[in-house]
Amino acid sequence: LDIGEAKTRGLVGEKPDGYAATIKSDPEAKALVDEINAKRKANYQALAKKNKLSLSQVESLAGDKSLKKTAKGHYIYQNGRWVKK
Amino acid sequence: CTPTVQIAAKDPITINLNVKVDHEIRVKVDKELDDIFSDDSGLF
Amino acid sequence: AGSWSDNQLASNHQFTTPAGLELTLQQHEQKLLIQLPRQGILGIEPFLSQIDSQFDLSSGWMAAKANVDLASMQIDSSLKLVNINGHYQDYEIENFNFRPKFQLKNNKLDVSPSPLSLTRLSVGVDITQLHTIIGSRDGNIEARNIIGQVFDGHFQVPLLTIDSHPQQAIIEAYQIDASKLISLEQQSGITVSGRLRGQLPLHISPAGVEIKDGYLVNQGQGSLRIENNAAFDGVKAQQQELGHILSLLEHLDFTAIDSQVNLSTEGWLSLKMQIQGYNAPQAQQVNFNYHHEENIFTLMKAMRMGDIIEDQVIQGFEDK
Repeated sequence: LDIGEAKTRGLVGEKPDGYAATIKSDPEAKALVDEINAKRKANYQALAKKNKLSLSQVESLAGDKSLKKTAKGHYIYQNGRWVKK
Repeated sequence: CTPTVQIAAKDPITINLNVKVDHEIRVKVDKELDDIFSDDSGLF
Repeated sequence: AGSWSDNQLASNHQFTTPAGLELTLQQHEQKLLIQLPRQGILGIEPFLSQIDSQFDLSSGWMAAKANVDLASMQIDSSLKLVNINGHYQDYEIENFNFRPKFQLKNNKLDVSPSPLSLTRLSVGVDITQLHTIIGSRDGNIEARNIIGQVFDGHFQVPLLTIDSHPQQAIIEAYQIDASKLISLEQQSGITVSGRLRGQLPLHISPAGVEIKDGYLVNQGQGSLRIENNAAFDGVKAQQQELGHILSLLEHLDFTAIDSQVNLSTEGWLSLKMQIQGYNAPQAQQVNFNYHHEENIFTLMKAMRMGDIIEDQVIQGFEDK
């Protein structure tokens, strides 16, 4: 299971804080999301350090970006619920 | 940079302060985030 | 071929363009009268976008009249643009008014002096109550005695020619509120009071717009207060031994400011300020030399994007 497939099957979506999250409880999707979020966080921390920004600033910029780049038909978390783009 | 402050005469004290504000940070970060959220990054 | 008899050629047409622009055309022999009755501005959008596609008008109205002499190809025209609102690129235009009268003769355009006014132009910073007289002088179109308000103060520019014709003009500024200037930096914890006046020599050339050897001085008293500002505390933390000296800047009342202002064509501002102040709590006279460097174009763009993040502030101290 890769993240693209998980999204197309509506198992995983993007959140405004720059991280992915499971929409339905599925152990395989959960494991995938945890792994990906850990890698993303490492990237964000490196970016924050290199540009002397706080982690939360990079996370919010990442969130704007991920919601914008989410493909049609995939899910994003908006105003408290999952919305299909 | 190791700053030194010159104590001019007893009175008054001279302070020199240089500030350079760089807005290019946002542009750089934006580009790097594009890579993270690209199709082949495996993270998106 | 006979000449036309007295029932000369005369015709009258009325039509509306696809975009909704209403037009009447009256022809009498060699004379042509084109009239656009008072109507909403949106009708001219298609024409405008041919001139410059980055115009996006949202409201306002217009009217126009043009007398065309087909024999001499002379055109005498008047135009009314009233209460126009909209955008040009990401600049915001509010209540633009312009009612020029102009003549085109053997393709030389002559604009008779016509007032132009604009309630607000937002370029990231708001310029308000803009007013100038547009007119021609030997083939060039000029903007004369431009006045406006910015940073709660006033500015004026005697004369500018409306093309990138190399020219110089001095911007006179006065009553500029220092606290409004500082608010651009969005640094919480730094409060400044005081008014500034000065002159900013504008050099316009094909390479762009530059300010060379401008100055700003204080108008009356002013003050600087710094209290839990992240950037300042950060520097104090880095330079422990200077804590005492730096704290002098936290409470300064000043009577004299002198400064040199330069702006490059790429937008790099260099502001060198010499502030003579007094720190009452420590009864200490202070000469504070502050050099500020920033790219104003990117700052304005960030302001327009409305999401200026706490940018990295590179600070350092230097022995004079």
